[in-house]
This record gives sequence, structure tokens and C-alpha cells, in this order.
Amino acid sequence: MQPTREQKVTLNDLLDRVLDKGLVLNADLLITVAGVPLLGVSLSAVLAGVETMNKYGLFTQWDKEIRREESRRQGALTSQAPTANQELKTI
Amino acid sequence: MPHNKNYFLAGDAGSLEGAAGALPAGRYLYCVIEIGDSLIQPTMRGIDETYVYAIQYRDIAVLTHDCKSEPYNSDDERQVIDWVLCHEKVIEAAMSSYANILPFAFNTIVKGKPGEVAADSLIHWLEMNYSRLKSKLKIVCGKKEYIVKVFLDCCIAATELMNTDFELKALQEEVNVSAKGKAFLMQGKLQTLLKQKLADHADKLFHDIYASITPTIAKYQVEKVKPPEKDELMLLNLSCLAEKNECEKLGEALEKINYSGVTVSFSGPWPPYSFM
Repeated sequence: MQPTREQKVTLNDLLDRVLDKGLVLNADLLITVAGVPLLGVSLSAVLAGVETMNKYGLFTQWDKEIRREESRRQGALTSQAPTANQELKTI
Repeated sequence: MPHNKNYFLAGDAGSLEGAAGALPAGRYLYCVIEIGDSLIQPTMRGIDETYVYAIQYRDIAVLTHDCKSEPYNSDDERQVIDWVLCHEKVIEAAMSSYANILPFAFNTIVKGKPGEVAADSLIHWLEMNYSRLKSKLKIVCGKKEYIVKVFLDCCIAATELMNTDFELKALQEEVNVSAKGKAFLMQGKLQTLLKQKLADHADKLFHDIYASITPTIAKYQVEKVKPPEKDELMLLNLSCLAEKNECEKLGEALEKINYSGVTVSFSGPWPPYSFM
């Protein structure tokens, strides 16, 4: 079996990674929002929302926690996935 | 900024911050690259046709473009996806030009700090994280990321279970011969049992498939599975960091996955986003 890069098949794979993973920079250097799950909700709303909220001092703790969690998650070699059993219960 | 001049700004980086009173400019980051004795300047264009250049510290550099100190943001989802694809295109061009790279996520933008322009902040970061970045570059050297997703069609699996599982078959027969009221209650019991058997079946498939493919690759990461869509359950979501020969072995192992209702998606090669 050969890996594919056909865009219509792999766009979600790409978005999952480009938006949610990658090298982590110190939060104090960044102006953008790292680690926020941008897909599934409006991309722009989340970006604008968190930035604006932070500008006014809101959700800064939440933002820090998100960043911390992202750093921790990306630092881990492997993560425990929810089992298929757990997911199945939601069907 | 008290850096010794062990770095190099390609082009005229930093000039945006020169104008008195101007907003501090940001630097949009694509990836960290490892360079040899001398830096070969990138030739690709970035998001919105921007000029991509390298900010170098010792034998590593960051590919970047000058931007405003604000994230790329649009209400037009197509526009955002185009930006994301452009981000990816620059990183992939870097992968072929420099071989060894560490990708940043989309919209990673460095701002200047009070008394420090963004380019200096970035160089400072490279300086402070030099050893960590070199170790990561060593880990990903010669390898690329591949994504394996395994799905189960629950309808097919349920039908198969109903036809093969002794307990389910017996209960179904009981439903068939029971009076209307009792049959209704038995039907509920059957559904609960089927759900449990299906969950056990999915768990077993996960373990069997996981055990059959992970020995082919040295470095992998189990990702969260996505919520089920319609009747399709994601059993396994794996990010793999693999060399070319490992990728071939992985492909062979995936080829052998042959269970009723199970489909496999195999994508790549990608920059090593999941191993940062």
C-alpha cells in the first residue's frame, strides 16, 4: 500500500497537523494562538475571538492552560488515545 | 540586545521596525532548517506572495517573512485554507531544499517585545533553544511523517456479528418467537448486547491492527480518534515518523489488514509536525 497525497483525501490530515501541531515557541514571543482547535468551529471566529478576549484581559488563564497543555501534549512521545470502545458508546 | 554577532539576517530584515512610531512588525515562521557550511537562500514565495528569507543562528535558521503583528484571519474559509496550503508549500519546498526541517504550525508569528524587534527575539529564541532544536533535527533526520487511520463500518460489523455470534443469534431467535410485548423488551436487550459485542469487537480489532503495524516503525504516536461519523468508527489514528524503507514496510503491513468492514487510509509524506 502506497501513501497518498491526493488533496481531497488528505486535506483533513494536513489541517489537523498544520493548525494543531508543529514546533512550539515560548508563548511570550507569540502573537498568535497556538494549540487551539481551529477546525470544527469557525477558523476566523476562534482566532479573532481569543485574540480579542486576551486583549481585554479575558480568558488569558484559559489561553495559558491551552498553551501549556499543547506543550505538554507535544512533549509526550506517545499519547493515550481514547479506545474505540469509548468512542463506540457515543454512536 | 546583547547578542554576539553569531547570526545573519538575510535580506533587509528588521527594517520594518525602523520607522519611529510604527507598529512593531512580526515575523511569520514556517520552519527551522539545518544548514551546512553556508546558507543557501530560499527562493520560494510565502503566504500572499511574500518574500521568504532565512534568519540564521550558527548552523540553523528559521524561514520567515515579514508581516504585521497580527494573525492571518479571514471570514472566508477558502481563503484560510489557501493560506494553510501556502504555509505547507513553503515547508515542503524547504524539505526538498534543506532535507532536515522542523515545521511550525500555521499562524505562528513572533512579535517584537518592548525594546526588542521581532527578528532579535527570534534570534534570541534560536540561541536559547539551540541544543533542543539540534536534538530534534537529529531525531527527524532522513524521516518524514505518515498518517495511518483505520475505520470500521459499524453496519457491516454488526451484520456480521448477528450472523456469527452465538449469543446474539440465540437472542434474535428468542425475539422472533416471543409475543409482541416480550419481543419489544427482548429487542432492547438484543440492542444492548449487540452494542457491547460491537465495542468488544472494535477493541479487539484495534489491538490486533496496532500489534500488526507498529513493529514496522521505530517512532510513532497514537493520536486521539475522531468522533464517529454516521456509522463509521475510527479505530486507530497513528502518526508515524519513518524512513523510506520503514514506510515501505508499513505499507506492506497495512496491505495485509483484511477484516470485514475495515478500511485503511494512509497519507504522506508530511513534514514531521507531530514529532516536535
